[in-house]
Amino acid sequence: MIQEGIPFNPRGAVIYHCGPVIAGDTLLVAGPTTSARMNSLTKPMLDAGIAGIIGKGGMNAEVRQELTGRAVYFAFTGGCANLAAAHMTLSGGYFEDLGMAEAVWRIQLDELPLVVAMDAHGGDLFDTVLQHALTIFQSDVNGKKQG
Amino acid sequence: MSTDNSRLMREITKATCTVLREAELYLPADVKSRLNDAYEKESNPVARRELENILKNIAIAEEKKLPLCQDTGIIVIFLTIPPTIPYSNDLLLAVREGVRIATGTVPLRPNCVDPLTRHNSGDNTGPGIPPIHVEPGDTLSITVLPKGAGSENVSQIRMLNPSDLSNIDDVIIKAVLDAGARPCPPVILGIGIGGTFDGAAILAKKALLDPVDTMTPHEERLLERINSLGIGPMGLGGDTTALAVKIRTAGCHTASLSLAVNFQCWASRRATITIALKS
Repeated sequence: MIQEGIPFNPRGAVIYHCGPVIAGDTLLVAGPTTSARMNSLTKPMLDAGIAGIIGKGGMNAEVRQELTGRAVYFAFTGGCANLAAAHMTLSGGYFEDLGMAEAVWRIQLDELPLVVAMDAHGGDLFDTVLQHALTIFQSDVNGKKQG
Repeated sequence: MSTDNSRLMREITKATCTVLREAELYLPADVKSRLNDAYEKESNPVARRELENILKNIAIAEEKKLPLCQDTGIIVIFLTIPPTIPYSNDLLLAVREGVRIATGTVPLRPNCVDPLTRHNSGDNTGPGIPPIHVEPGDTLSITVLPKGAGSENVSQIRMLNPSDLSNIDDVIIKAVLDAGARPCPPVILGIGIGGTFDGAAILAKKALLDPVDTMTPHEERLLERINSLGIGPMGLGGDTTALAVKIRTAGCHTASLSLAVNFQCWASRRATITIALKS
């Protein structure tokens, strides 16, 4: 894809991590997919000028750093494919020969209840929550050893 | 005889389509009830919103008769066959054909690719896919467990040292921490303890078929510890990281302690159909 060039204008676009179910030219259901799978693929898209990412599960420290000063990661509830589709209209596609889940789809979005989970200032709600969970686990394990 | 047989095979294909559609559209009542309880009890406002989205999504799927989640999964199948039905390749092909047809009619997302070329078969079938597990039974029944990749990808299998037994709960909790936000929490954990390497994995998978409205004291203890971590729905924080923990065990080698943890997302889809046989 990078060799061939990006077939849409990435500047200001929002990338949605999603492999939808499409019937004809209708977006039937379209919830977010696990964003971490795209960790190593995200820097080129940010460099190309995307303004945001919508996905689920968050991304790694490298992406967190790359987001700083230029883009935001929004979390949408995983599995909520019908709720998502209710706010979306399909308006085109690229690389459709690769398959339904593999293609790039152009979607018009009309309001979606999102959480800013990784901001443009290095804030990362996923990481904060996970670090806290690790602390609880560690003190639990240590407590058992001492007991 | 052969006409009767092909009629039965057609019936199996049709029943597979029917039960698969039901599983993809409607969440089982016991899972839904767990989600409702979690929503009532949840104290974190972000988590409440996430659970609210989930409950709304379930309602829209029911109303629109569309799959709950766009990841309609790899269709894991469990068959029971009574003594009167011979176990044959035809039987497996009939089930497989049902998955192929349902891909177009429900519709399902084509998810099955070649592992190396990544070429998508387009119909959710391929070598070894759908996996079909067969057991003897009193009735001819088809159970489907559509399994999404988000939760499957963070599942773990460990060959522990038998002396690690006292720490086995810690290993399970560590798997939940490793998985973090990725498996679409609140999750259900299917755990297999014992068996051979492959045996532990199928135990864990089968544990995901077990109803989640009852749990053993060990399962309850694990659930409580997991929820004390505060990972919450979608890993954004909250009281509800898991909905249930289900454990199955089997005998194992005296030198082994196999452990498989199969994660299931909140959209824990499963359904069973029994085919009435003419006597």
